[in-house]
Amino acid sequence: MNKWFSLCLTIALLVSLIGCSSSTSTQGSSDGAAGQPTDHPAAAAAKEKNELKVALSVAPPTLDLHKTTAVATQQVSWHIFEFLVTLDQDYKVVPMLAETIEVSEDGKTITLPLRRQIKFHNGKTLTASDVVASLNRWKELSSIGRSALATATVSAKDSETVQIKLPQPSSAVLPALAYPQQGAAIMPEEVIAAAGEDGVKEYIGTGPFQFADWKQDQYIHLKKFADYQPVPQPPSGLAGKREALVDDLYFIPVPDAATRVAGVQSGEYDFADEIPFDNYDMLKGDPNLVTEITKPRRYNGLVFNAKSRLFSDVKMRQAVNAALDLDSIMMAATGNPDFYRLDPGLVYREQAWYVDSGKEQFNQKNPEKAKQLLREAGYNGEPITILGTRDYDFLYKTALLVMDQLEKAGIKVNLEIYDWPTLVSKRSDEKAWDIFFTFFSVFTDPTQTFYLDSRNQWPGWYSNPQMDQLLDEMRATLDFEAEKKLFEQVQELYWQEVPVIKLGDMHGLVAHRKYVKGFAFFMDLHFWNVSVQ
Amino acid sequence: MGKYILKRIVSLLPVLLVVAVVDFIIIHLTPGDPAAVMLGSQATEEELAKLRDQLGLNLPIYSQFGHWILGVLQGNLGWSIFMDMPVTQAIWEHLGPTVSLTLIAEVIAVLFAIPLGVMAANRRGSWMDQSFMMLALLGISLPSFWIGLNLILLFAVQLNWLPAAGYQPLSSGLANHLKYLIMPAVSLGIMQGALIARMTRSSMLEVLNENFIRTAEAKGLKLRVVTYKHALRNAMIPIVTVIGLSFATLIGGAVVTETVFNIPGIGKLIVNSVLRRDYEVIQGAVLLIAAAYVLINLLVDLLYAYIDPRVRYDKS
Repeated sequence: MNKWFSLCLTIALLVSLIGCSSSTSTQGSSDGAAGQPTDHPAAAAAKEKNELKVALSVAPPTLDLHKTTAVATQQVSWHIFEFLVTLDQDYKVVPMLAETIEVSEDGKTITLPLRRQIKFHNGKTLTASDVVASLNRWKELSSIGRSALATATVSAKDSETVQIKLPQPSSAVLPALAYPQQGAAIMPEEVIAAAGEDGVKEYIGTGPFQFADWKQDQYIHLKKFADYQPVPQPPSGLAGKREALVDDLYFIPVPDAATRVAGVQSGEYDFADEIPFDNYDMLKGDPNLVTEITKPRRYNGLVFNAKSRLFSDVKMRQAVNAALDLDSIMMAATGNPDFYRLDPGLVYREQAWYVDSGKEQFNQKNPEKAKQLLREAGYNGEPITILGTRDYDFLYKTALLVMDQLEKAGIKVNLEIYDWPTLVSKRSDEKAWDIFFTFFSVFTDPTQTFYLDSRNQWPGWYSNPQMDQLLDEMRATLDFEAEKKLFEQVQELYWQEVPVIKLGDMHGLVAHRKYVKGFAFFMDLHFWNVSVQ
Repeated sequence: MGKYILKRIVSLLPVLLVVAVVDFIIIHLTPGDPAAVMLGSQATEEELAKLRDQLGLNLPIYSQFGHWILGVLQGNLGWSIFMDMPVTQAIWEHLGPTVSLTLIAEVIAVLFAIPLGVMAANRRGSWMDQSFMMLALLGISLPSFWIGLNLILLFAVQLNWLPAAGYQPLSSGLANHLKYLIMPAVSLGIMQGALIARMTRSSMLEVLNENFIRTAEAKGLKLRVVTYKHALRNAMIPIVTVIGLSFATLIGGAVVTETVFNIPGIGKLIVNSVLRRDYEVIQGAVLLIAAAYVLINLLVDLLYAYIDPRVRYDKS
């Protein structure tokens, strides 16, 4: 009995160890193999149930889109709420809940007739008063809303038409209404009225999915909204026809990247976001999976404390900009050239706004010039403080590379590592730091680049009246080409003054089971028009 | 006995008070605040300041403590800023997975560890003893997350037998419940089992050298009777202590295992709450764990009296 028992145990342990080590090699050998995809039983069940399980890297703090800039919130809330206008695949503002967009000749009145008989998830029909209440709340809570609609009056022309009146014409209003992060979500008037400082009590929108259930740290469950009325145009970007092709949509927060990867490999999740780049080759070879590089998604930035300490001197900032070799920094951050691109544009190449003015200041890789600028600035070898974080691995690697390159250029560096909430708290104190790293999402209009506008008081506190004036001129210019010319000047000035150094566009990596069809990345994840076949 | 239990429960109060104060101070000395997490990285300073004000984070620390401790004395552990629910509810919702996981892990650990420890002690110095103890050493040395990840690779990714991660409550059916918990329980149970096995062996060795064991053997009793009826029962006190301590530790949160297997238990709640700076959840959960730790130890002490008739808690 004893012998039998000990033998069994030893064999079990050995099999498990051998299995584990062989699992890696089997994974490797399946690259390019003609093996038939074999779905996990759970995956088959998912298909039968017509549900989609999406593993997100973080849990959203709330689904109240007006309240937060957190990316996880938009990833879920976009499915519940809709905007008056949105962006097509050319990043052009097009109607969504509005039937059309009518701008008066003087540019001071924007009239937005609503599409008829649009239903909220509570059965109520959308009216102009819902839109007015929503926009007024959004304007209060969102910095982009405040900036675009600060002097505007939003009113109901009639029950099905919304009017925005402006003292001066502004080109910033429509892109702000379409801005998806902390976006101008339309909610029922009574939900807005019942919302306290803690946020809305119910998540009721007009989107293709309606809120069903939120089990904290487990899942957020959305279900298909049967009375959804899509726009007839074909899908394009965030615009066009939206259709809930699955009955149930689950967003599951899975902070551990290895668990997300294993989960999508095993079929526990149908879709996984933010896959670590070093898993790319392995997952690409998995016959059950599809991997997609999502771009444009974000750009990484080095933010200077331009208000106090050493980098309030523009020559010091220029010295750092001259010293950096961005290719090696982005390569260290991503580990693979497929996941980044170097580009001086403050908006992405894919956007109509794209300009490359100031490009000669980008990626100079010139430590000698940096030393010269440091001498001109009177730098005496005082140590600078860089705030770094391990919460985002790519930002940590970026910090290490930048530290190394700055030290080679003759700048002494103290690298302080914190978790992200601590870093965000520390960066509020202008006496505590010189440089920190972060990343920026896609802006729908260059004037939304919040760190350029001194009135936003964003940490870094860059302030230049010339820049503020140029941004205001852009906002007051309705002709796109004329506005783009002004943006060229903005970007030129940005690269001269470098309040932030754009390090490079960093893409994302997602993986999903092969049976998930119709996924199209645009600005962020969305799962309307996605089916489980 | 009753008096003893009452005394121990009353002695819990100063422990909890000390835990509450230390816990509160450490958490509030840590930089970072929940407003930054709530509003996202692109929020402006003005927005952050406004939310901090709303959440009462700008109040003096003694005032925040007073407010919280008064609530605790009335049975209110506070409010989760992030989850927008009472802390007691948040803890309650996360307690089930942890208790299930802990129980299954302990059962696995005890079922394997005690027979292995006994066998090793009975054959001291043999190849079996050495190999079992080597395995036990391996079990203690291998990090549970490594074991967990390898179990996932083998049983979920390669064999597709078990789900890679997640949790299903008992209400979804026992088989379904176990399907999600078996791998995390094994990865946790290996380490706890290794500890128990080593303790069982050394405790048994001590008892096996006692005169009464020699007497029992001289009387011609069967080896099994001597081992399990006479030796093991006398060796149980340190073993029960280790089991109790490991149980209390696991209730406190199998943090890494719950993270790797994405199990929404107390450990994960605490980690998430620390990352989100959801202060009152951390405070409430730590208080609960302290209470659970003391109560489990009390239970272990009471078990001593059951296992060993010589142990009596009443003076009479």
